[in-house]
Amino acid sequence: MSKIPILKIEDILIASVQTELHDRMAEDLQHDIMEELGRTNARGVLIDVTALAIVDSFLGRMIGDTAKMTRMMGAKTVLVGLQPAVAITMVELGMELAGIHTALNMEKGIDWLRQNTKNRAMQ
Amino acid sequence: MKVELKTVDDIIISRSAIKDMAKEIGFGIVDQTKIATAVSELARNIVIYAGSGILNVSAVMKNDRKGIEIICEDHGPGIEDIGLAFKDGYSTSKGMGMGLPGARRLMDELDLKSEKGKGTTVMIRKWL
Amino acid sequence: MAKNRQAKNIEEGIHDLTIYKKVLDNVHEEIMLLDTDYRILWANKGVMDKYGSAKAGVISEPCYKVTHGIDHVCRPPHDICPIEEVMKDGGPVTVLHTHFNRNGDKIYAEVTSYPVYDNGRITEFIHISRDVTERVIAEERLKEHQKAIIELSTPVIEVWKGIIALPLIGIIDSSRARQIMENLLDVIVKTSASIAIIDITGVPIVDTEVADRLIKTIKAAMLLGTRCVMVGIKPEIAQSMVHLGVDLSGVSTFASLQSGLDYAFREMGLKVVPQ
Repeated sequence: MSKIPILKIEDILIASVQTELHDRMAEDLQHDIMEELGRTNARGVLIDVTALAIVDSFLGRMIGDTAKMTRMMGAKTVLVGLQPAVAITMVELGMELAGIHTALNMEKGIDWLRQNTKNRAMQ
Repeated sequence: MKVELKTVDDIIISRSAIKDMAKEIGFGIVDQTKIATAVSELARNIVIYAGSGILNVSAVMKNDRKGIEIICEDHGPGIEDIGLAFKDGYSTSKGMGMGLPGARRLMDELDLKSEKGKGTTVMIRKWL
Repeated sequence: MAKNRQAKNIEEGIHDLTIYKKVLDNVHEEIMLLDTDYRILWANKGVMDKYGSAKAGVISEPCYKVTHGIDHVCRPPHDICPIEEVMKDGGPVTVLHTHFNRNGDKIYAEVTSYPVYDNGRITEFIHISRDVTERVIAEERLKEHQKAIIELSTPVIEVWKGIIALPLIGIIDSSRARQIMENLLDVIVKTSASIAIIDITGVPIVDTEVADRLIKTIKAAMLLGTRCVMVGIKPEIAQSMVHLGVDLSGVSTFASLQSGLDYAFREMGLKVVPQ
C-alpha cells in the first residue's frame, strides 16, 4: 500500500492526501508526520484533504490526535480542502475537530501557518 | 448487493460501492457522503468487535419514495448495553465512540437487534 | 326440469361474462393476470390498446417485456418489481413504474399487484396499472418550481472580496435549512470567502430546530476555514433563544448587518474612509 509523501517547504511540512485513506495509511501518515517533525524541527504542518470523499470518526480522530501531538512539539497544524459534503457530514456526525485550524485551500493554509509561526518566533 | 467484511480495508471498499449505489438511486452528493460515512462507522464496528460480517444493500421504495437500505450483520459478541452503545462518546475501543449514535444522525432510520453471544444486526435507511 | 335449470345457469353465466367483459374493456386501467413466471395469462382491452402491437401480442409474454421493453425482471434502483414485493409481503403492493407504450413513448404508471391464492399458495397475480403520466409530470414541475423558489429565497451575495452575505427571509423549515447550508458552503468554496455574514433579520421565528440548523451551518463553514458572523438578531429573538437554551458562544453575533460588516472589514484588515 502506498504512502502519503511529506514535503517540506521552508518551515512547513506538507502532506497532500490524493487517494482514499485506508486505516493503515492514516496511521502511517500520523507516524511519518511526527518523525519528520522531530527530524526537521518544522514549525507548521499542513494536511491537504481536498481529494477525500469521506472522513469518518476514525479518520477524524486521527487528524485531531495528530494536531494535538504536533502542538506538543511546538508546531501548528492546519487542515485544508475539506469538501462541503464532508464538512456537513462531519458536523452531523458530531465531529467538530475543535482546536484544529482549517483553511479553504493550500494557499490560505500556508498563509495562516506563515503568519502564526512567524509571530511565535518574534515573541 | 452483498459485501463481505473481513478486514479494515473492506470498510473502504464497501463504503465506496455503497456511495456509488446511492448515487445511482438518485441521492445528491451530501446524502451520498452521509450514507457512506454511516456505513463506514457501522462497518468499522463490525470489523473491530465481531471480526467479520456482511452488508446487504438494496434499493427500497415506500409510498413512491425511493430509498436505500443497508443491513449490517455479524455473529460477534453482541452488545451488552444497547442504551450505552447509543450514547455519544462511549467506546470500548479506539475511535470517537460515535459509531451508532453518529450513524443514526446521518440516516433517516436505524434499527438495532443484538443478542449477547450471538451477534448484532443493524438496519439503516435513508429516503430520497 | 334439470335441463331447463342448466340452460338457465348457462344463460346467467353468459350474462355475467358479458357484464364482466363490458366492465373490464371499458375502464382505463390496464388489467392483467400473471403467472408466477411473470407471464401474462390474460389481459384486458386497456393493455392491448396501450402495449399490444401488430407484430406481437401480449398473451404469454413476460410482463416486463410488454410494459418495459426489457428482457429481465424489473430491478432497483430503476423500478421495483411489485410481484417480488407481493411474494415477500403476501399482500397487495403499489409502486410507481416507468413504462413504454406501443409507440415507445415513456409513460408513468401506478401499478398495483394483488396475489391470487389457491390453497394458501400464491398461484397468480392480478396486475393493475393506471397511466399517471400527467400527474407525475405536474408533480415534477411543482418540485422544480419549489426548488427554484428555495434557491431564489436563499441568495448568497459577495459583498466584498472575501466577504459573503446570506440574507435569510421567511420561515426556515428543515428542508430549507439543508438547502441554505449546502448553498452557503458551495458559495464559500467558489468565492474563497474568509467571512460569511448570516443575516436573520427576515426570519420571524427562531426555534431550537432552526437555531440548531444555523449552528450546524456555522460549524460546517468553520470546517472549511470560513468564519461566520450572525447579524440581524432582534430583541425578541435574542430573548427567545436564551429562553430556549440555544448556545451561541463561539459565534460572533451583532444586532445589525452594518455592525457585522464593520466587524468583517476590521477582521480582514480593511478600513472604510470618507473620500
